[in-house]
Amino acid sequence: MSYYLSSSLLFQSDKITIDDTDEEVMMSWEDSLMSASAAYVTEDGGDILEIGFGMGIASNYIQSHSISSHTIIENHPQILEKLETWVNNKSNVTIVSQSWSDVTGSLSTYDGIFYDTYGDDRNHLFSSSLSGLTKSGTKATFWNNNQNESNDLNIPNCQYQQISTTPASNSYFTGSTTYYMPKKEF
Amino acid sequence: MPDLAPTIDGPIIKAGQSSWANARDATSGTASTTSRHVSAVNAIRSAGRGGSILYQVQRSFFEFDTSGISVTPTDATLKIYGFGGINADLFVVKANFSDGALANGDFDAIVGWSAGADNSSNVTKYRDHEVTIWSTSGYNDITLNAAALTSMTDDDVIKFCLIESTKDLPNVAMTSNATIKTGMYFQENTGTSKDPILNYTAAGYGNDIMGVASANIGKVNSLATANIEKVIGV
Repeated sequence: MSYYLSSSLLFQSDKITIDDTDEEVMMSWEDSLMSASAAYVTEDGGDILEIGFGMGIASNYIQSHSISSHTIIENHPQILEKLETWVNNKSNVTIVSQSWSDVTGSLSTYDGIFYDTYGDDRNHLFSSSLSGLTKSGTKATFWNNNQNESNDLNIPNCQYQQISTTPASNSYFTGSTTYYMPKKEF
Repeated sequence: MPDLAPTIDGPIIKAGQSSWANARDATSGTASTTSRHVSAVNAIRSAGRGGSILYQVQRSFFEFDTSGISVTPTDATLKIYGFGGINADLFVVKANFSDGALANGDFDAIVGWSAGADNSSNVTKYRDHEVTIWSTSGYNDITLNAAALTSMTDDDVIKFCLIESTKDLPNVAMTSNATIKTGMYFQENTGTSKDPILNYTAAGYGNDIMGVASANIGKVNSLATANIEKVIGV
């Protein structure tokens, strides 16, 4: 089990942190970035795959668009509890409570994919896994710490949409007020 | 076999760093007072968000009041009750953190410490070998060496740092994701049954007591308390 999955999380109104270390996992200042990410992956409606629920910000935005189905993969036990509450009365949502890399072979293909995980020791496999999850026209995006037109997940040929943001103090996105949202169309 | 309770204890962590050096060679971290910690001594490389890598290092510090020790003890054992993680081997080394309380700036308060260096030979080890076996169901007895016995005798306090021995102390950067951690209780835990202890064996008095030879000290020790005044008053 990874360090993150065995860590206790602290849920506050504006962030999720790792209890022992105060490291931020996700924060509410990302709202506009989550909104833009959700808007991109739902541009064509259809079936949406979201990997990593976090604070549920992107999930709410995805739900606000016209889509057919919304599959959410989450495996941190405390976040799963939040997700299981959130999903009430949302008939088009399917929860997969495992590591995404353990289930990619049993998943479908999707019209939109949003990947935003934390403590994911197999994130280097995501790029190569996309071929099994996509079809012609699939739109995918993912969290990008890089403050330029590049990404650490080694996903090639992305377009980048610059979004102005005002980050609160945090340990993962610092030194810039511009988020480079990756846009990958298959 | 007197037992000493700690006067200061707690971990200091440097977490969420984008490089091994930023974590390991930091001059300050976050000090905390806690009853117990699953990874009180650690070296961790893990995934963050968006493909980023995060490093953290945690060390734990202890101070005991040894002002009452004037003769080098025969032996001494640092006893730490385990909790949580067990896979970090650790060294016990001489620390020089702030008097009164642990501060954030004490992260590298280790005698002989040099940022960026393999400090295996720079620090003063209070145990000749690393601790490689850790129990979470009782006390871990860490036998201390002659350097520790000397410090206990010469100094009013002895300050320990428990530091991870395969990555942190020798400065071996972590190149793949791994969680190396050992956990323990601190004195802030309710009650005293799991508190850290410095146990030592007194070597006996260093001087004759008004004509009583050291070899006969045992007889003095056996005097009734009510009669001690007579010895003092001799």
